[in-house]
Amino acid sequence: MKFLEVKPIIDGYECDSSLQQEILYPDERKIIRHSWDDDLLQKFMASQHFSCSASSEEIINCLVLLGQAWLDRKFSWRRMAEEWLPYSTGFSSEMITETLDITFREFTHSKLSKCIPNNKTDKNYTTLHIQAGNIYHSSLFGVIYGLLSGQPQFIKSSSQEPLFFWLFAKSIIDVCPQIREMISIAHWKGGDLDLENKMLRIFHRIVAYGSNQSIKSLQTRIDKQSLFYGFGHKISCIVVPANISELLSYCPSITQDISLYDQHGCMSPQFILYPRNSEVSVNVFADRLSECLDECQNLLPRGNISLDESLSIMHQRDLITLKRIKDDSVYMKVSPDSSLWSVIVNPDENPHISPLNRYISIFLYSDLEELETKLNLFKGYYQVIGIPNITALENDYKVLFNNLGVCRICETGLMQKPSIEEKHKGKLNPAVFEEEIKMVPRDGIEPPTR
Amino acid sequence: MLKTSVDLDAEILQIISKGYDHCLSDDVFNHLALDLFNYQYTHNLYYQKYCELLGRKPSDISRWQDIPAIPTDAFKEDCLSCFPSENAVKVFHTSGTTQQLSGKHYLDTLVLYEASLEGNFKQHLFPDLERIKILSLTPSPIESPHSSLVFMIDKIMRKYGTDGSGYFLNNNQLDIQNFLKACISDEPILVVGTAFSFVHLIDFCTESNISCFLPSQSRIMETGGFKGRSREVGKADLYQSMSVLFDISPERIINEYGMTELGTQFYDNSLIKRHDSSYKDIPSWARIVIWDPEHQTPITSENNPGLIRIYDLSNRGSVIAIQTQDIGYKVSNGFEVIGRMGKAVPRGCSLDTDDRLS
Repeated sequence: MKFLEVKPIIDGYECDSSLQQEILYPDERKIIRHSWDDDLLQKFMASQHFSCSASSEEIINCLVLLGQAWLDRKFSWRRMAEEWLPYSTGFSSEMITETLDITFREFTHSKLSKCIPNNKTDKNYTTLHIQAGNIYHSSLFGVIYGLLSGQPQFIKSSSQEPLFFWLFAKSIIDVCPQIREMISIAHWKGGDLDLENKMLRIFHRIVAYGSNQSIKSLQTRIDKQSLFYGFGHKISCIVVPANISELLSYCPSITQDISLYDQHGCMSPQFILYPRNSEVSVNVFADRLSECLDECQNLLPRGNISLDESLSIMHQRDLITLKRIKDDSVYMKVSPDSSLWSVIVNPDENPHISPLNRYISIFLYSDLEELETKLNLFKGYYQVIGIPNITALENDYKVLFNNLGVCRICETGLMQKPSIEEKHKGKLNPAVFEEEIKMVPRDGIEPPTR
Repeated sequence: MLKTSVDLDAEILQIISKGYDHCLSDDVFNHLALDLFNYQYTHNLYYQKYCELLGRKPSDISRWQDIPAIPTDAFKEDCLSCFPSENAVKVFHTSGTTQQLSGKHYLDTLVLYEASLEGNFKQHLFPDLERIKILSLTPSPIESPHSSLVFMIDKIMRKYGTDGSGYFLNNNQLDIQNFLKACISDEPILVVGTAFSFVHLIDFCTESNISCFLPSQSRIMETGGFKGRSREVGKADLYQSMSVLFDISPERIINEYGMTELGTQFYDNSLIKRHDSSYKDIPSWARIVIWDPEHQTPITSENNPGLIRIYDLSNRGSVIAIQTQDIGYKVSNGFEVIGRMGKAVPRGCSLDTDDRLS
């Protein structure tokens, strides 16, 4: 039996052993994780010695080295991530391998250089990242922006997935010790309001991911002097414009969008809007998409899901089958004898949320007006809209998408692969934020779109 | 050759009449189940279309386990019967609020329903008595003519109820004063009600500091889910509160698992002494499959949770195989119910009564 000890990475401070929490993995290995208590918090508050003398160029070079290390399949922390993250995330090993590659390929000198803030930042400005549980590295790019600003970054790991940021921090100690003091990882049990309120008060900036309810709860408890960026519920979808040539050739890239992270992320498409007058009938499109999803299962298998999740998929499929009894236009292709993937064509319904885990519904639209009506059902909640052959997108569509407040519009196949250098509100670049909102105090600011 | 409803009813009735614990071989069950499937596939056109969409027809099926199970939601979609709806002698409605569609179960005869109900109920609720005083925390059949729960309580009360039996939910209000008076008795009492009616009763008695001790040898039948729109109570907590309020040991509280879409009900066997541990018995004319939604196969091992799928011969007029939205697991010769699946719409008689009380 191997033991792995996880400690908050603040030199010189140790937790009382009574605060240890054990996470038992299915193969009986344990992670021992330390919780924070009041004493440790006091010590932390009294010792914010996060001065970093490294220049921006030095930090970039550090991060490039770090990225290269993580792309090396033999790198010890990566190997540990590949071995253990399937347990903590529920994603397949292949998914972990693929998503680590996608993520760390962004750590290039040219891309990171573009993330350096244009204006001078206060290096003592502290940021707390409250990591969500659905996507194991969702705070990572935000942390990188913070590091590039020379500012200390503090991460509260997710209860569901506490491992990745711990491994990441360990890798920094190994690969680029000169910035080791800029990053701290801790975990405290949700619900301890007293401790949590104290933690929230000591940071200049707080970036949180989670449900709308969690975000609102946090927002009301944060000190008025702090900046708060809350990222609540978001969804993504794919819009197929009319008259796309070679439409079926886009099915593999659409499959990538659906399959990466098993639809658990906010950048995962939950439905497809398809033109009624397409030269390729929607059922032919659904058949091809089904084939691609089936093939994808060999390369990028879906993770195991809970009983509740598979029940939810089965229930939705049952309802669709009942609907098909009375409506011939409803069409369904699903993985045989499993819940691995589902493609549903539901022509007359309005778009609705997917039960996830590679369950995609296709809804139809006749014209731009109907498309707008259907998209408006989730106005303000769109993270990414994926478009096949975006370069040929007509201006009318662009205008429509702009009005929806979508954070990002991209080619299909890239929905889950945002580039680190893209500067938009959702990318958590502190410099961008601060330029745009002029350091306005938290009160009255709605959580920005990401 | 396709059997007629008369033939099928006679065969099924013969099996039911031998008692819930009659050892019916799987071969006999299989034979009759396949005949019934063939009959229903032919006469129940909605079910036929459902089977066709799944790519299954009687000639392809040789095991009862492969008969397509229709989701309970189907009862909300159409008249799911093997006869014209105008020929129904009874129509049971599923509970449903204004936001939800109500399902309907049409019966062209009550013979199978009543046969399935009576012996099974008596053997599990009062195997030691010929008759018993029944106090029902439900509306009367006059007030709730489409409730299958109320119908079955009425049948039992008429056949086995002693003087003083009655209903104590009138005009959406628990008649607590008269219920408390009726509880003062020299003879054992059977109190029947939904989980929510007991919650309301417990809340009232606790707030009013009233106790409601039942006579010795009394028992309770509780039915319905534990989640809904009023106060949510866990089963263990509810039974503990009931035990204290009624001064009755928890093993004398029997949970009934039934639904409008079924002719057969399932009861805890804790009052039947021959069992070492309590679980729900499966009458000889029914079968339970715990279904793995991930792999679309039955779960054969004990204690592994899955979706409860019921094969019920007494459902001759509708569909033999029902896919419930309840999670349970196999145990010994029976099964246990854990609760409703997470995303499912709350349903059941419990909600109906709760609607009235809230």
